[in-house]
Amino acid sequence: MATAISVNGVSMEYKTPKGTTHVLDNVSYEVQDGHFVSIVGPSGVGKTTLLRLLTGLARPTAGEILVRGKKISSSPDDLAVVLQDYTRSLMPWLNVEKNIALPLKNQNLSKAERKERIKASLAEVGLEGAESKYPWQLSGGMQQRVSIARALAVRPSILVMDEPFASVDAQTRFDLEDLVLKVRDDFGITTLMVTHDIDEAVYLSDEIVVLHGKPAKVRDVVKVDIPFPRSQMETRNDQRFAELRTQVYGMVRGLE
Amino acid sequence: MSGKPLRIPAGLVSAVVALLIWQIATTWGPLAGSSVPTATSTLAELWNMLFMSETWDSIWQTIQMALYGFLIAVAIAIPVGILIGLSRFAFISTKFTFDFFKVIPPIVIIPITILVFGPTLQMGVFLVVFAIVFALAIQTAYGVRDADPVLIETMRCYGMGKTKQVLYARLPAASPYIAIGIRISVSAAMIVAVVAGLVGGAPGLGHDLLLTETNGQNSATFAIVLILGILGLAVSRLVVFLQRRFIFWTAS
Amino acid sequence: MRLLNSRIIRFIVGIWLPILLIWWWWTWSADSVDPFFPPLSAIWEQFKFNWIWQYVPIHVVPSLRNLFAGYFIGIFAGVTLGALLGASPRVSRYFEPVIDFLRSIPPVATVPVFILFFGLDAQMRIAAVAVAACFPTLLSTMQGFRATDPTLLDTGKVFRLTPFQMMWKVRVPNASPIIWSGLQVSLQIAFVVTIASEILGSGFGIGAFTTISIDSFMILDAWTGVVLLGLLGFALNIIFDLVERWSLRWYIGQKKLAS
Repeated sequence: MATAISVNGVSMEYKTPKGTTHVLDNVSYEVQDGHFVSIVGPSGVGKTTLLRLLTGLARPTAGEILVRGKKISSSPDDLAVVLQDYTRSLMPWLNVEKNIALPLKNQNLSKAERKERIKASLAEVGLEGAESKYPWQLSGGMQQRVSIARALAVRPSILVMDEPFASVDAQTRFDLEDLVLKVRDDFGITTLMVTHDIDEAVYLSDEIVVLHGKPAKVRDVVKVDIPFPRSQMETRNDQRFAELRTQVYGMVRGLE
Repeated sequence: MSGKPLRIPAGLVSAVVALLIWQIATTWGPLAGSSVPTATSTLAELWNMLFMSETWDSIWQTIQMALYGFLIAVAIAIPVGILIGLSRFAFISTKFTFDFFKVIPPIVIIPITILVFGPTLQMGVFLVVFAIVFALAIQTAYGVRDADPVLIETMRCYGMGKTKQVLYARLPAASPYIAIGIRISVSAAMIVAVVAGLVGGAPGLGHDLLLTETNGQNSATFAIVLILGILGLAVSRLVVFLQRRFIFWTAS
Repeated sequence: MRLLNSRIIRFIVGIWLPILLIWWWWTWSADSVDPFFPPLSAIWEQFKFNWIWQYVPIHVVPSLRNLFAGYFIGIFAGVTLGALLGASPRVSRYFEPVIDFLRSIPPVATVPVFILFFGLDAQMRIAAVAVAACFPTLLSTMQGFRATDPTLLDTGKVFRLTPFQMMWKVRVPNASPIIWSGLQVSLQIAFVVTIASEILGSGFGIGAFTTISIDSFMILDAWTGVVLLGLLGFALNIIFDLVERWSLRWYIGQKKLAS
């Protein structure tokens, strides 16, 4: 299997008036094509910083990030993101259709193709016919579905998500988790997710990267050997699930 | 003294640059020989004017019109606004009328006030009141209506009467609204006091502006405009300062 | 007061006072011999005679032309400069004190200055209106641009929006509620400065007509001018409100839901 993303010895420092804050220290790992990888760690460990580096929003002070072998300098072409704060990442002045269409405008698509893409992505996330609604007319869960649809519409090979389900209620969260698994199956997208929810990480991932320390290093990489397809009812009651979450929990807390 | 390098404030730099541009444009540039005075002659005139009692009289007259008008408007608008805000019927009844007068600029009625008052201080005061009283009353009424319904219900549960509800829930809710209304009103009062002089002939800086302009005392015209700018800046700073000092809980 | 939830009842309650006021003015002034306060019926007759449509071409048309020409030039400059300064805080630090000073000058007070620049023609009026209208828009645009949500900018960057899209699909709409409030103040100021420039610069326009009427003691004519200006000022605000509401319907809907 090919490597989708490789992070090579990445360090990150911020210069503040009070001095230099060292956030990441020599972080390295590789994400295989089609894998679902979660990044977990205690809060404030630098997960979001790492995500900003991966999406090209910031540059590392040392090291490099390669996407399909090419070093990234700005946001890579076939990468899409879903951010935590859907109320601030969907444009409230555009309806659902125009929100999804916005990034498609630069993709050399005909009008009909664009319409088709929008329709297909909305169908994928179970929001058929919501084109003319404004984001604020939808519930939090539905807005996050629009966010996912917008990401899917650009047909990315890599999907990056920052705490995508942190602001929705528990029931919606389970639905969205299963939606993400379905999307991964349907398109074979390499998915990278930052989360603080260990259960969620175990439930969704092939691999979990645990960050720890100040500055943060890769504490460990845990392979989640629970077979797919997974289901909320059975997987979460699985013996192995319980073992893995205990193990990861211990690492995040620095107990092991 | 600490070893910090001397930092020249950006404001000073830009002010000096603006004056230089003005000076160059009127000495050698496109405005040379036009009726626009140079920066130096304007500043010299301004300096002279500072030692003339007429200047200070005019300033005082303008401030007087603004101040009296403002105080009268506040004395009317806040009680009226509170009363209107307490009853939904009164609020809806007066909304259209108040909105209508709120958006009519006082300059529109200056011809009528000239007939009634002549070019006097009273005219200026009347225009200032007209300019701010409606907006301030509406603003107060909105504030009174904005009181948290949960708080009102809670007070009712504890058996507190209408008077207590007004004193402890409605007025505190209205105070930020009133504070904003007052801040806007003060600036508006100054502007209208000048307009009353310039357009309506009421005494003060506005009238001086008109006189110097028709007499061709161009440096004096510009000098008065500078005085007006400084005065406007000083008044708005003063209001912000007073509000920070006395109604600290509405910091924003 | 459950009744007041009905739209029709609210409308009726809303207009009884204006109707009463007009009726009161009408009957109170009916037998008036006071030269300054002629009967409303006489004002109304004169109003129809003057403004439907005899004086419209020579007075109303130039007023509206100067108002709109000045206003649109002013807000165009205001939005452009405001966007530039709002997007670059370092540059705006130098401009801000000068802008702060200039906007502290009462807008009408600049009319004599513009008379010095341009003389008494229409150019002077348009320039005075444009400059006065520029400031509120400039300041609100600056403020709106500074308040751009970083999450939105990040989202735009990650989806590789072009600079043009970033400007017109992200930054401008995001700042638009604040910009609109500036545009409204600009319109009100433009209206006032238009009238002031006509009164001071004399000649044509509704303001000039009204002052000349007063000076020549044509009180009835002056009243019709005042009434027309009042109605015009009110109408401009209503039209503005409608356009603003239509343009900001997403924002209004969002706010309603939040409260």
